[in-house]
Amino acid sequence: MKNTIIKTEKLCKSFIIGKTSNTVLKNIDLEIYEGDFTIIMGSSGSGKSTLLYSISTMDTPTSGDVSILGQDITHLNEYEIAAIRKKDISFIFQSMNLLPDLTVFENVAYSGYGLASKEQINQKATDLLTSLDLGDSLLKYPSELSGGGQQRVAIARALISDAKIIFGDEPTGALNSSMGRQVLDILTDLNNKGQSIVMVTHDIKAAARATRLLYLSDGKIAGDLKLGTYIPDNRAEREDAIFQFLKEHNW
Amino acid sequence: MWKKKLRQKKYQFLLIGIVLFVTTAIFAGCISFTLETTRFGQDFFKSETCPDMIYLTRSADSEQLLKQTSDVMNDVDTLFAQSAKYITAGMYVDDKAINVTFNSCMALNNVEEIPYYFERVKGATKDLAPKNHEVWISQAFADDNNIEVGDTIFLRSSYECMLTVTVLYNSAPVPSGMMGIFPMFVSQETLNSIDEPDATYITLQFKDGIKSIPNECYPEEFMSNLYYSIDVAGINMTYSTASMLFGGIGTIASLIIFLVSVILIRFILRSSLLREYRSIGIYKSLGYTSKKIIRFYLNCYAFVGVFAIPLGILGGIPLAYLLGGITNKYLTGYHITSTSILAAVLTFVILMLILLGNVYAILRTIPKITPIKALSIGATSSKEKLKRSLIPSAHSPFSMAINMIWKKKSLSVMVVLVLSVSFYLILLFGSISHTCSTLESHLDVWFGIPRTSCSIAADVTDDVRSYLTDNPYVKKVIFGDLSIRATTFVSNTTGNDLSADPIFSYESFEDPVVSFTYAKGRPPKNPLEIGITSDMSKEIGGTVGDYVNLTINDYTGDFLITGIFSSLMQGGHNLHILPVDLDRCHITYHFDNSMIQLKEGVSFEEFQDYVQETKPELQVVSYMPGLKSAVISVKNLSKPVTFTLVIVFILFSILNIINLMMMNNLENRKQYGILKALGFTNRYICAQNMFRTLILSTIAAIFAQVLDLLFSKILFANLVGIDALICPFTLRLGVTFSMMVLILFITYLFTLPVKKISPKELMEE
Repeated sequence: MKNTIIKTEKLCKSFIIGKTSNTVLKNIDLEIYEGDFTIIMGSSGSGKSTLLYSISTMDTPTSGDVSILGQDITHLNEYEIAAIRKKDISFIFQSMNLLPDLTVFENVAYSGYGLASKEQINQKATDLLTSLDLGDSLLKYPSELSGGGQQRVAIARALISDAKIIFGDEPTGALNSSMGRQVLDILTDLNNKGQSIVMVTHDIKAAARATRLLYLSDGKIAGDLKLGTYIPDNRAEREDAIFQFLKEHNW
Repeated sequence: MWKKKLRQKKYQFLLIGIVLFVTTAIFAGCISFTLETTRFGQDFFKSETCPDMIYLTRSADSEQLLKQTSDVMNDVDTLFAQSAKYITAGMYVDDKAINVTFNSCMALNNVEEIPYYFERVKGATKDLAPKNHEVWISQAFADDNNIEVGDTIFLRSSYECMLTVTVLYNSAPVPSGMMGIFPMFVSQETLNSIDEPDATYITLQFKDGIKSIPNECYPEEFMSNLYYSIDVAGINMTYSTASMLFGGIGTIASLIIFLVSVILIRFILRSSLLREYRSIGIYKSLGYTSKKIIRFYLNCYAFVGVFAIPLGILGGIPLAYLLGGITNKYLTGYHITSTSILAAVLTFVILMLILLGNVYAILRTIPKITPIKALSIGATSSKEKLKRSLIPSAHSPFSMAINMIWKKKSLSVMVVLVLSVSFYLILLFGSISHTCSTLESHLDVWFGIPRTSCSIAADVTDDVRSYLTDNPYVKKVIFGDLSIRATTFVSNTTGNDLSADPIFSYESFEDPVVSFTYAKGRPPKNPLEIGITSDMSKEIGGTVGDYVNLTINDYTGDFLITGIFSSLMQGGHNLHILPVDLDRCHITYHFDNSMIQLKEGVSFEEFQDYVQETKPELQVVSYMPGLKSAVISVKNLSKPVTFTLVIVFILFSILNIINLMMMNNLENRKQYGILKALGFTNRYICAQNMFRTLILSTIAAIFAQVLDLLFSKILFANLVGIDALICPFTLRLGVTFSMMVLILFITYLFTLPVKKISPKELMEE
């Protein structure tokens, strides 16, 4: 029986544009489990990124409850939420969102300072970047790297804190297929080692890496597909299964 | 399209507009004020509205004497004489003693006979002359002493005379309270009843083309019987000193802040272009030309400038009227003429050219942007130049703030520049305000008199001498004569002639207790040595160590300039000379001023009471009566002006800081979102900003102090002619501390909105 790491109850999110209110998420009840590579898919405007931000403390729900690792984040103060972002979760953005004024090394280490001694964090940052083939780029700035390189820095930054949950908002969206595959391999590898990952994507090939697929439609969870552990040899079958699943939901 | 851009960035353009408005208002106001008062001074004091010479003589026959002197009368167009009395009695209003030097009453039979500007401004303004036991006094004198129409002035000595104030007047010989000499007008019958020495009040207007009549043309009997004489230059100086100071400094300061504002606008525009680099590339790829894009930005700034600058020029009018109303209060009032209109048009043209020229200079980089270059900038690359961190492995808000300052050098320099100028200008005007408001504590610097606790204006008889020398309250006393009238010329080897009037003599200029303040060198201590004023030094080109030829009455000889002091007294042409040299020149003098330094622990009031009890005929004053009006006048003028300018410069600082904060928040909005997403708290982000502001403000404060120490005294001395600017440590500390607190508070306010916004919203661009 897997532990629930994220739970939502009647989660709603609305946006006010001009004088009209647009409800994007409608009373979503959801549980995400430890060790899963959960992917959220849906057609454009279905609210998948909104859902991701709402359950990751990056945005505030309009109503409903959200628990992360047993803590109801809708009732936490600013410092408690910051502590969750610092220690318990990490986020990988589509546009990387690295700090442009810091070097590659500084971008990774800066996120980890305060969690252990400076020397330990510095060493860990170096090790992470080296393991992601960025050992020669420690003193470079993000703008001096390719998109794939920057996304690997973002992954290293996400890993420095040994977060229990990694969130990703279309982390391969801005990359070419080769770089995208590289990033997915890293994430799959992490998940195989027990890392919980929640990711949004519109790419079936990316979705094939999931152990669980949630389909969002019209602000609600319309479908839930369990896929099991990813094996490269089964990739084609998984993609077919996902394609059928999506077709059933009129994607 | 550019209107849409203005709407999108409305707050930023609004702030730019307000900054331009404020700086233009001060600049235009000060320019208008300076031009108008200069023009007014040139017209007023060169025309028949003002006498060219004024004399108060001891003799009732002076008028006849002059009329018989062809050397004088050949050059005189109008001679106007009134019988007068020189008042030595104490003067009181509501039992309050009013101390006046050269106090005099003139008989006025018909106001229409007065050949120069004379206006009844309050009271019985339709009367042609004062009636018996009525007195007309100048408005300047009334304001300095809180006297109003209907009040009664008492003259008390061996006689008592009661005079009711019925008219307050303005006149050309009293253009400001700094004049120090305030004739009172009474009826002939009232004058006859005043038991004081006879005198004659004479005003001369020269013929066209005649600037002065040499003193040797006047009869010696006339010159040796003078109480005082004033020329038009001296009268003009009491009017123009204030306008030169405030108009001059105000204009310079406003030009500086306008230029700083333009530099700030350049910086904002450059940052804007960097952010909009990609957008510009997209426009170009869609077929827009560089010219069109440049015009688009120019239109935005032109639109702001076209509104802000003319509004600022209009806003400068009240400022000019405020300043002019103060300086011209005792003359014909302040009016704007075509001079100001021309200045306004030129101001608009010049400031718009400066603004648009600088904007265009930045926009010239647009043609160099190619679509491919611009479109390659985006999520993965940047046009920004990259710098290493100063502090490696930085984590704390303080160390990150230092790294941010280092990496964003151009923004940091801009902030320091804006803050330095603001701090400096506030400090400068604060110092001017302080200097003017503590004038009476530094009369030695302003008027060339000794530093003392108090003084007594009375003939120094043997009795008075021994009373003061042996007085238990007195530490030291020196005696002098401050109104030696003689025909005095100072000339150097190039032949430049300058008259000095009056000349001062003291028993000793070197007493360590009752001492004199000299800007250069030392006071005279040996025979054939003199001290001259800084004005005289400039005009004759002589300085310490030079010999000058001095002619006093019939004596001519070479004297050594041992020192230079400052003095606003009577046109700033004064001499310090020893009694032994007065004897050499056969000058008749008598000591009638006792300059007293009291013992430690003795207050002025204690000594005053003691003298009142033991020698009531002596009147102790905290400083010479003749200077009181000048002191009050300077204070009354400087307070509103410096206060207004200080407020304006504080406003300028606040607006620019807000502008920079807005730009900073705009640029760093995404970064704040990333930091929050990484688990940094709002407090951390706020602390980082506050530390950055604190460091930059401290650097700016240091620069401002250095600028102040290097330039303020020189600037003040050049404009006023006196090296008298004081900036006490408490003022420096107070201004610096207050400004830094204000700036930190603004920074804190601008960081507050980040609190409530989620990381996702902050990261959205």
